[in-house]
Amino acid sequence: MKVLLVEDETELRRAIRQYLQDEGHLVESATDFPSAMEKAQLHSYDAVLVDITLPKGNGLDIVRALRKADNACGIIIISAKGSLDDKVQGLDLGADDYLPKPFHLPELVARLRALVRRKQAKAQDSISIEALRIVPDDRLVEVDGARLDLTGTEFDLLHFLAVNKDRVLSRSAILEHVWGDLAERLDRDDFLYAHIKNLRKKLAAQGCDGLIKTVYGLGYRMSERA
Amino acid sequence: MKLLQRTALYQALLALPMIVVGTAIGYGLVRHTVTHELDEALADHAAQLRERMHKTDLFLEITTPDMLVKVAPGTILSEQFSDTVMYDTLAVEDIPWRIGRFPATQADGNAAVLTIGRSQLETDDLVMGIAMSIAAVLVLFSLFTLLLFRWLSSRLWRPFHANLLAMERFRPDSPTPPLAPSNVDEFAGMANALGGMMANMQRDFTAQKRFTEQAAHELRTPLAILRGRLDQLIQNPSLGERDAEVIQGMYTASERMGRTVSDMLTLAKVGDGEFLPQKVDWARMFREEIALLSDLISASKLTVEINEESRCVIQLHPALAQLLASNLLRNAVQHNVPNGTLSLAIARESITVRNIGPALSLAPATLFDRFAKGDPSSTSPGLGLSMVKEIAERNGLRVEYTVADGMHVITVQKG
Repeated sequence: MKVLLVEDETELRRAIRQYLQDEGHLVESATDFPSAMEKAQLHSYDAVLVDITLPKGNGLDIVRALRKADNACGIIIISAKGSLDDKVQGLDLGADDYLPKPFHLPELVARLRALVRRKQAKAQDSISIEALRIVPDDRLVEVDGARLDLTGTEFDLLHFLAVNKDRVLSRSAILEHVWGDLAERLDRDDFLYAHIKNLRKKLAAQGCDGLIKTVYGLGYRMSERA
Repeated sequence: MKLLQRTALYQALLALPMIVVGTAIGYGLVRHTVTHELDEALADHAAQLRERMHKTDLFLEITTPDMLVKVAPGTILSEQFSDTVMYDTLAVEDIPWRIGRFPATQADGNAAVLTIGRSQLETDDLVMGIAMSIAAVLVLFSLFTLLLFRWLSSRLWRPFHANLLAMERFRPDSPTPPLAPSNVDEFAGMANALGGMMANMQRDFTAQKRFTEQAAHELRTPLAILRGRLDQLIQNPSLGERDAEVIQGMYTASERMGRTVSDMLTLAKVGDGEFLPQKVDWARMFREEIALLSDLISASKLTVEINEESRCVIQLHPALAQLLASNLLRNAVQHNVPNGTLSLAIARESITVRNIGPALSLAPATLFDRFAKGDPSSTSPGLGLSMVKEIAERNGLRVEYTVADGMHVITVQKG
């Protein structure tokens, strides 16, 4: 996927770019408003990640310009302002998503993936890992074609892990993705472990075990058994 | 009691003895004068009669309803005056008399006592009439000054009252209300001082708000960098156990900081006053929040009871209502015990959240303070309940904490 990253903070820009590149995306970055506008108008991207507060301009104007030009790329606003007004205004201007800073990179990956899925409107876009098949739009999980019954929380968990396949996901990132700001109230390790255990049990019952690996002291990772 | 009423009361209290004493003094003076005049008249009359007594033995004695003259043998050295009361058979009442006794000599040369009396009925009426007039004048005068003073005061104090109202309505987040000017030095000085104070408060408020927002904003960017870098770092397959521990510590610290920053920003925003109230159905709001918390509730195996006695509608911005409800419930869940209970009572005028939990380790009075934590090692910033209080107070609600039957009880009440 070809992504334009508009972010003026060097460190954050590097972190995002490297992480997305490792995911296999092609990332171009812009550090200020004029260069971002230029790139956005010259090239076509699948997705644009744009910060609101930029040197020499406002990220919202980039959103406006892209949509005015009927550019159908996916747009995610990443902002540290966190004000409701900015979110509403950004979405009104045609942004597809709004991700407040600070966020976890796996969360950004999941949002990007969801965005592209929506944009391309591929019927039955699904994620397959070994015998496991996840259809996000239908919130459906199958193992070897047999439907697996999961609770909403378990589905979110599995889906998040699958979208970030082969990546180590910190407990913080997982908790925040699945339980949002509730995550902060959780007796974290036990709570998450209990849910992972249930999920593993359900997968194992269908002969699909060993996909979710514990990365000692850090979190979890989903990958083929190999 | 209002200042005007109070001054009027004092004035009335002061006027009352003045009227009584004034009337009494007036009465005494008039009485004295009248009696003196009467005595002089009696003495004049006696002098005339004594002249005649030398010349003739004509019977001098008379008795009419308002005068009597008597002559009796006897000796007194000097004239004597006295008051007496005689029963009048005609009028069927006691009549006051003034009696004068004078030494006299009869025609035959014998000493005698001449007694002359005059009824005081009319003079008494006169004195009473004058006393009443004095009293009436005093009462009227007092009333007049009272009313005049009242009217003048209300005019004089008008700028004071206007400014008092402006002060009561003043909020640091809304424009300064205009202050009434006055040419009374004290009031003008007060208005000046007030205006200055309000402007200061507004400036401080705005500065503080901007500072909080900017600080929160400036903290979020480095936090995002920290998280991003950590997310990258843990992908390294050669990390050891020790590294994992270090990294986990950094994650935890970054989360804690993120939470504090986000709570601080929310609190600053609650103070903005940019939220317009709407009608909110509380039972529904709380049910939705409980549903959101279901994972958390079942993790601690809590029993939740909802008791809706009647519909409760409160005027509040939905976002604030949601913040209030979720903070109250989260507090009740977080400070609960495994297999504990959480009960919610919704009445017409109030909402009560009760939960079992360990005894409070901080003073109840500080429970709603910012950064108040029961457990100092808790990673929660301790802003949840202060947010509840902030929202409640800004929207005419009252929040109270009590302990009843070993349960922590927080009540949110209208008005």
